[in-house]
Amino acid sequence: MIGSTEEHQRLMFLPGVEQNPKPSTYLELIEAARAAGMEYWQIWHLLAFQPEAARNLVGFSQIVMHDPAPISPGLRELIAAYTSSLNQCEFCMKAHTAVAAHIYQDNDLVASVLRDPETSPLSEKEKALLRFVRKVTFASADIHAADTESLRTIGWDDAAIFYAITACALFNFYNRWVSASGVRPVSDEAFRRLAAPMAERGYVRK
Amino acid sequence: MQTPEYSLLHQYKKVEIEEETNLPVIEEADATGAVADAYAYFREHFGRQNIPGILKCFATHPPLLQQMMEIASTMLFCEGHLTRRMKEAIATYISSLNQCPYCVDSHAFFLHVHGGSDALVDALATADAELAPMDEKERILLQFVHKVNCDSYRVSPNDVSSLRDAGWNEPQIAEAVHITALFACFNRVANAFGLPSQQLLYLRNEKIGLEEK
Repeated sequence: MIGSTEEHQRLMFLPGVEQNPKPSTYLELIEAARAAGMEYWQIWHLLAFQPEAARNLVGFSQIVMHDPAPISPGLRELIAAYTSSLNQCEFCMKAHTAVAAHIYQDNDLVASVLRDPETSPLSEKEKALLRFVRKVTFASADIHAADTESLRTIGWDDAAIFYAITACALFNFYNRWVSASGVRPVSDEAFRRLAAPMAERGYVRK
Repeated sequence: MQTPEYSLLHQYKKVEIEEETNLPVIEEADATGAVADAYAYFREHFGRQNIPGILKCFATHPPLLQQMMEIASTMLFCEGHLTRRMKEAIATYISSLNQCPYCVDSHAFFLHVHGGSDALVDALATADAELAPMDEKERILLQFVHKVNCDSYRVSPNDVSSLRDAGWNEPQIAEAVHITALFACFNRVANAFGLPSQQLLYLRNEKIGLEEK
């Protein structure tokens, strides 16, 4: 555990950001984890650097990802993990894989979706939504009315499509913010431990 | 927050955009309750009468609308560690890389209002960084945000060192990353909804703009 802490908690790309947290929930979380000798998510340093921006961002994320919506929180987390895998953001992919696995209580299901949604046990309806998410990530300029219409035909309403777009777009934000700031993955054990409260209570801490 | 570009829009007739979007948005005439309140808040705080299309997308889910306005006002519509002009240059360039006609038009117009030359606006609005009249320091930042947008998983400490060597400080670099990532998000929402350009940039021909700072 001590060895892995050292290995995983290497410096991010901007020491001036990492070493300059402002008083906030995230600073408290960082201090508590350090005092306990536990690994923690380095994204907390980005959130602690600008607490006001963090409040808006996390509030937005809570509504998009966790509050009641026409798409279940589990499927929204699969969208987050899948989008992150398309963008090759290891930290976000592992974090939201762990959150999704906690919600579904099914590691194999989540792993199969990340490998390839088409061969996963998801329903055809869910696969269609992930195909759409892939297009939002890679080719949003080519999305036309026919794309949203085919989702409606298969049973998704406009509110559900909106949530899929927004969850995917939000992770296109997080993936770049996290990767370009040098946020490192933690150990698999720490991902599981830190994902549990997010799966159960959402993104707003305290 | 300062939004002089929106005050300028008062003087001009709105261009009617009639294209259908891929998903329904809440038009101003149809706004009631929480959405009407949020639109009124926008008009008061941002000083623009016409509600931008991107807010009409989020208005389908009112709690997100307020959060969205807060994110925009604290991150973008303000001088930060980067100047407003530099933020708009980044916003225009990223939106153009992501082929988002709605965001390119809005932010190219804002860049113009905040003193961007025609040559700069045209180069960034067509994602042609080579043609952009910028100094070496600015050019390095533009190359960096290109990488953050298109290949963020490849960003390394060396990229950040190059920015530092060029004279950018850490809060500026952090802000450039944040703005770039926000546009990676907003461009996708606007494109997935199929928002058409608002045709604001044509106002450039009317010679409206602010004094150079």
